[in-house]
Formats: sequence, structure tokens, C-alpha cells
Amino acid sequence: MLRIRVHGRGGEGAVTFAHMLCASATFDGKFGQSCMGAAIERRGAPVEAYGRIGDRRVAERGAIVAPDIVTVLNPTLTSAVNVEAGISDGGKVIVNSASDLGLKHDTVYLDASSIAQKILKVPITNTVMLGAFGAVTGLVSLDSLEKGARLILAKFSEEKLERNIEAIRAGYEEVKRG
Amino acid sequence: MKMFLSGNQCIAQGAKLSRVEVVAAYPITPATPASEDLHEMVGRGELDAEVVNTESELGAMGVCVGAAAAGCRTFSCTCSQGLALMREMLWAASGMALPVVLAIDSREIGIPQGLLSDYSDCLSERDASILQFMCEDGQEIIDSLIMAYRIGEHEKVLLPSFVVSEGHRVSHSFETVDVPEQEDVDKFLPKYQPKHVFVDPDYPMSMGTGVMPQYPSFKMQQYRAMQDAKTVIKEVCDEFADAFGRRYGLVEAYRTEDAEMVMVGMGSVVSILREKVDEYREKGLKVGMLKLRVFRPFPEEEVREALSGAKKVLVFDRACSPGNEYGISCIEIRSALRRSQALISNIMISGRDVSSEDVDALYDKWAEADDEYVEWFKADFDPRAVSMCGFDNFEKLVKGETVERDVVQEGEACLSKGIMSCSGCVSLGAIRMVLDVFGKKAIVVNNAGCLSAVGAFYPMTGWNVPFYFFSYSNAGAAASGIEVAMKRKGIDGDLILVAGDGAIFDIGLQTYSAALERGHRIICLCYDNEGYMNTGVQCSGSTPHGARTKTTLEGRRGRAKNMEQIVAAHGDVYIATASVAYPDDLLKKVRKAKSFDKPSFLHVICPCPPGWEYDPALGIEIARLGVESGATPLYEYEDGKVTLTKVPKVKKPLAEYLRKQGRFSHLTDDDIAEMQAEVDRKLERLTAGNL
Repeated sequence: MLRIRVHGRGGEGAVTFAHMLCASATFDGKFGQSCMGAAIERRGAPVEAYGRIGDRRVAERGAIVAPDIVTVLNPTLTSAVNVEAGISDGGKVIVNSASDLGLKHDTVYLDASSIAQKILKVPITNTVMLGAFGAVTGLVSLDSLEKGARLILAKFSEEKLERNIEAIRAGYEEVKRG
Repeated sequence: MKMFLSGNQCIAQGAKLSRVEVVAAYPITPATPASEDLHEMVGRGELDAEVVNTESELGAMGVCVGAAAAGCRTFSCTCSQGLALMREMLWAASGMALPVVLAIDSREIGIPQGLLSDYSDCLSERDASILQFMCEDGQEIIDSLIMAYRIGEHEKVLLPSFVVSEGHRVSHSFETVDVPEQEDVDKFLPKYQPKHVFVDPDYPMSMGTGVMPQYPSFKMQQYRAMQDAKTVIKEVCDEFADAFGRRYGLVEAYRTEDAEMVMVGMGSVVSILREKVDEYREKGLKVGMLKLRVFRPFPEEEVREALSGAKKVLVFDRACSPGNEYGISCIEIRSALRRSQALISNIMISGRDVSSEDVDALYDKWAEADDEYVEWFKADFDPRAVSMCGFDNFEKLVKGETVERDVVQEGEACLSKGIMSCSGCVSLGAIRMVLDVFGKKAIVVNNAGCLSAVGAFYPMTGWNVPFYFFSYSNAGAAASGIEVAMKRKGIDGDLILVAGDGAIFDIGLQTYSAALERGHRIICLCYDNEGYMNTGVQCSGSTPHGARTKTTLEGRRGRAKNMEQIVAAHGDVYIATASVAYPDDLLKKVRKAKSFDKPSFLHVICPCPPGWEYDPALGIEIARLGVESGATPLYEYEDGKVTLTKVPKVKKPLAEYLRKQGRFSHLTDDDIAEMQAEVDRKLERLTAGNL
């Protein structure tokens, strides 16, 4: 089982990221379990969300203190919280940032904000980062990521949903291009 | 059908599939989303039920009991303080033989207020003759809800049920579950047609009456119903397994047959324990696991049987019973095993998450121990945790040592900068503005709401003046107590009750009314964001007509309470409405309230970006539009007369105010014309000097 921790700011879709990711895993025949951090969610305040993906039913629950993969949706968070806290040996970090933030672990940076701004017209990066996550980790296929997003974002308007699907692909391709 | 659902969504699915007829809803974290889902299901026409938004959990349980006593299948969900507030009516439900089902998103019970999950809330109701089903995951929530109605409605049982799962840990976890088909559930759970409770003028019944010497006989009846419930539960579980392929029972004994060491648990921790048993078995260790699925009635026989061969037992407890050495489920296990030679140890996990690695560490110690022990799991991580009342220096203060503290100086803020409210929070601006008039003399009392969630949270506090947090329902009473004590001890200060609309209009109205009636000098600052915004935007007594919230999806029908009229009915109270868009006016009113030796009620309407759905930068503009359009007029009420303090030179149309807010976006021009007429009528009344 892999433990994934997502950092974002309230209102940026960190929790939705975790739900989309874990729902996606189920389309690949895996088991996923996602949850929000048991925190008081305020718009703009740092929040955490957790995902667990495994080959059998996920038994463990609650906060993840020793993640295998960390995803950071907002570059300003690295100075507000220790996003690298407890990362397991060989753990990976995927950060939305146009520049290298000097994190200690194996880190992939991508400017998801610009991509999101271009496609979604808002700096909400969770779908771009979801695509990037798929490309970096190979944990979930692009096809399944799209299915997972369609499931979780079912309440979105057709147009908004399609733009988010486009954002997933753009994030995926951005990483693949290197 | 396989679906990817959260625990709360499973609660809603379970209630829907059970075709509940009456749902009572009152928001409380983390159970609120389940009620919101039920509102949506009714809105989409998937569920034919009456959903009643109540003023408190006591009211929610009251609605359930009333509707059940009139013959309906009823449902509500809550946790923690909410369940504690329901208490009286819980006992009414069991006493009146009403099979109400409550889903409990179990949460730590305050004080201190916790947001994690332990079982203090539900297990405190151990003796209320309520069946308690302790669920491991979302699947078990759905299945248990359906079965709870079958069991509770059985003629030999007729008792209410709790279907318990852990708040956040399960309620907010999404995973794949198999949602049964409605037609299969309909076959398993027939329509509820109670023979013992109904409303019929041709057969009048007197229900809920008093008894004198017969009380023990009634209690014995409940006691027997609980005993009989064990058999009924087993029968219903068998039937459920035949119908849906999932087998449950009173307990689940996992690889206990030849086990020398058995771990015992309830709820989600069981999933981990089951996995660990497999792991240990592969190493040749004779370990098993016992899941207590039903806590009430307690399955003594099944426990005894499953643990008959165990030399060592380790009980994982999510709730303790201070005064007894053991956790609550361990007390029951020890009672069941009273003739056994097994060594029974106990781990208090309370609200903590337990990982696979944690169980390894606990197992190692347990395997080595040659005697019983009781241990708290990860409870002493922070030495400051012992200081509770004022966070710091608790021990020094108890010993009577002098402790230096920074206090507010002239011109400094009562509430520090940098606390975590939402971006663009108008309420916080209003609170700061009001309190800074009092400075060091302010003594702040606050009830559950946005402010309590952001102003102070261990180990941090933003308060530079004395600050008290009390439960939601206690807006007026605890503050009255402080006022009385201050007088008695000759403490010079201004007691300010800072409470949201939920606390004043709804759940705390009773205690606030009593405080006004007694005439305590309490300055009440009601920061009114017109809904339960802290729990994620639900309808309150202050939500205006037409506004959409998550519990009024089509827009609220009916008008908000006129709180000023209610307060005025209590006699000599200084009443003023104010707005952050007019700080001079607001401050003048606060200074006036400060000068009085009587109660004051300052009602400040505070736009809320997430709740009212607008760009966070526009808060002050919207507040100003509220005044300019007459939607939130500014006035004072003294000596039985209203004086408008800000009359806009040109009154703006109400539409301009409403159209800036997403919560009114569904309104038609006709709707708005109607609301405009109401606003005009109110302004006319106020202009004539009447509330």
C-alpha cells in the first residue's frame, strides 16, 4: 500500500485531489481510500488530504504521518508548513512551482498554476497536478485518472468538467515532456 | 451497485434505502454532510421523506421521537456534544418503545473540544436501552442501518438504535462500497406499520405518562427487550447474509479457534487488527482477533466463547471511564470473562489513528508481558497537554506561583493578528472593531461557531484578554454565571458575549432569553452571517427568505426570526443593529452599550464569502449595499422606540444587493419583487418607530 499526502490551501481542491486519485485507482483494479485531514478547513489556510492505494482493501485509516508520495498544490506552502515531514525512504515529492524550492527529497517541480490559469482561467491546480501525479508515479493510468475525475466532479457543468479533463491531460503531458 | 462513497454518504444511502419517512437535521461536524445528502436526495425525488431542519440536537431528537410516536420511521445523525444534548429524548425514545435510528459519527466529547474520533459520545449512553452497532467501514454503515430498522422494529425489541462509525476517520473516508438495490432492500425491510404507536382518534392512547411504583416493571421490560434483541440480531443477520451475501453477527471471531492471544476491538481499528492477525499467523504465532460489532446488547456469551482458549487478551478501547481503571469495552470484556484465567490488558487508543506499525509495537510489548497492564497509546506526547484551562502554566498556577503574562495595552488588539479565518472574513473585522472599544476590560465569552474554531486552538490562542469557550446551547447561562461571579468578587470588566446567529437565534435562545430576563449586564455581540457557516453553510433561524443553503436547496421558505422583537420582549435592553461598512455608527453604538448598566444586544450582519457566495474582496461593499437597499437597516431601540441611525439618501433596489450573492442566484424577478415589498414594509415599520 502506498501512502499519499496532499498539501493545499483551503478552497484549492486538495481534498478533491485525493478523492479523484483514489477513485481513479479503482478503475485500474486497485483499492483506494481517501480522506481529508481532520482539521478546521478555512479558505486559504493550509490543509492536508490523504490517499491510500493498494492491491487489496485498505485497512489503515486517518492521518498520514509517513507518506510515500507528497503532492503540494501551492508553492507558498513550503514556507508555511513542513511538507516533507515524515517522508519515507525513497519517497517522492511533486510540487506546483515554477522554480526549484530546494526540497531535500526526490522532487518534481512543474508550473501547474500557469497551466491551470491558461486552461481553467483560475489558479486551481488540483486537476493539473493529478495528471502530473499520474505521469510522475505511473501509479494510475491517464485513462483512469480521467474516469476518476469524472466520477468525483460529476456535479460540475459539462464545460467545466471537460476543461478539467483537459487540465489533467496537460499536467500529464507537461511531466512527460520533462 | 459498486460506488465510491464516504462514510457520511453511506449513512445517507443507508437511510434512503431504509425508506425513512422523517429526518431531523441539525448541523454538527463531522456528521453534517450526511443530512445534506439526504436533503439533496429529497430534492432530486429519490427519497420520499420529510426533512426537518431543527434549532438544536435536542430539537432534532424531539422531532424524531414525536414522529416515531405518531408511527413514522425516523432518522437523524449527530455526534459528540450534539448527542449529549439529545440525551433526555434518547431515554424518551427507548422508554416509549420507539425504534428511531441515529447514525453517530462518533467524536470526542468536550471539554476540551476535539475533532477526532473516540467513543465517549455513544458509549456514554450505554444505559439508555439503545442498541449500539459499531461499524468498521462504510459498507457496514449501510448494511447496519438497514438491519437496525429490522431489528429495532421487531415486536420483541422495539428499541432505538445507534449505528456508530468514527467521525472523520470513517465519515470522511471515501472507498468503494457495494450499495444494495432498493428492491432487494424493500423485500428485506418491509414498510413500517407499527401496531403499538399511532395517532387514532378512534383509539386514543396516552403516551409517555408518569408511573409511581411501576417504574421497575417498565425497566425490567426494557432489560428483557435488550436480552431478546440478541436473538433477533442473530436472526436478522442470517437473513441479511442470505439476501445480500454479507455476513454479520454480534461479534466477529477471526482466527480465534486455537488462538492463545486475542486482540479485541470495535470500529475501524479492527481492519488493521485483522490484517495483522494474518501476518502473525504466517509467522506461526497463535493470534486471533475479536471484533465487537454490537456493544448493546453486549454479547457476553459470544465473547466468552471466542476468548475461551485465550491466555492473553488485549482490548483496544476508544473511550475510557475515568474512575475505573479500564476502558469502557474492557470493563465489559472483563465482566464477560469473570471466571477466566486469561490475562486481560487494555490499550486506550481514544481518538488516535492506529497504523500497522503501531500494532507491531503494541504487540511486542504485549507478547513479552507476563502480567496484565493498562496503557494509554501515544497520550503523553506533549508535556503541555496537562495544562488545560489557560494552556500554559497550569501547574505553576495550581501551586500558587506567580506567572508573568503580557496583557493588552492601550491601543492594542484584544484578538491577535494572524488567526486562521477564511480570506475576506467580515465577522472577524466586526468582532475586532467591537472588542477593541473595551480593550483590557473585555472579558469574552464565546459559543461554538466560526470564532471558536479560529480564535484559539490548543496550543495557540489569539486572545489577549480573558476568554471563555462554552458549548453551543449555553450562550446565555454560562455568561450569566460569570457575570454573577464577577459582581461577587468585585471584578471590574465588561462581559461580552460573542456569538453567531446559530447560538443566539437557535440553539442558545433559551439560555440567552433567561439571561436577558434576569437582566445580567452582558453585552451580546451577535455576529450574524445568516446561517451555520462554520459547519459548511446550513440554514439557521436567521437565514433570510429565498437564500439557498445546503439544507434549503431551493431557497429558504419563510422568513428569518425577528430577533430584535424577541430581545425587546425582555424589557429594558439596549438594542442596536450595526454594519462593518459603517464603522462610525457601529463604534458609537458599542460605546453606548459600554456606558449602560443593563444588557445590550448588538446585532451585526456579517457577509460571509463562502456562505453567501461572493468574491471575498467584496465583503464591505455587500455589507454597505445591505444598508443602502434597506435589507439590513441600521437602527437603535431604546425606551420602546426605534430610531434609524443611517437612512440612505437614495434607497437602492434590493435586487442590487441580492444579485451580488450566489445564494440568491436562483431567484426570479418576481421572487425579488416579493422580497422587495417585505423589505419596504419592514422599513416603513421601523421608520414609524416600531420593531
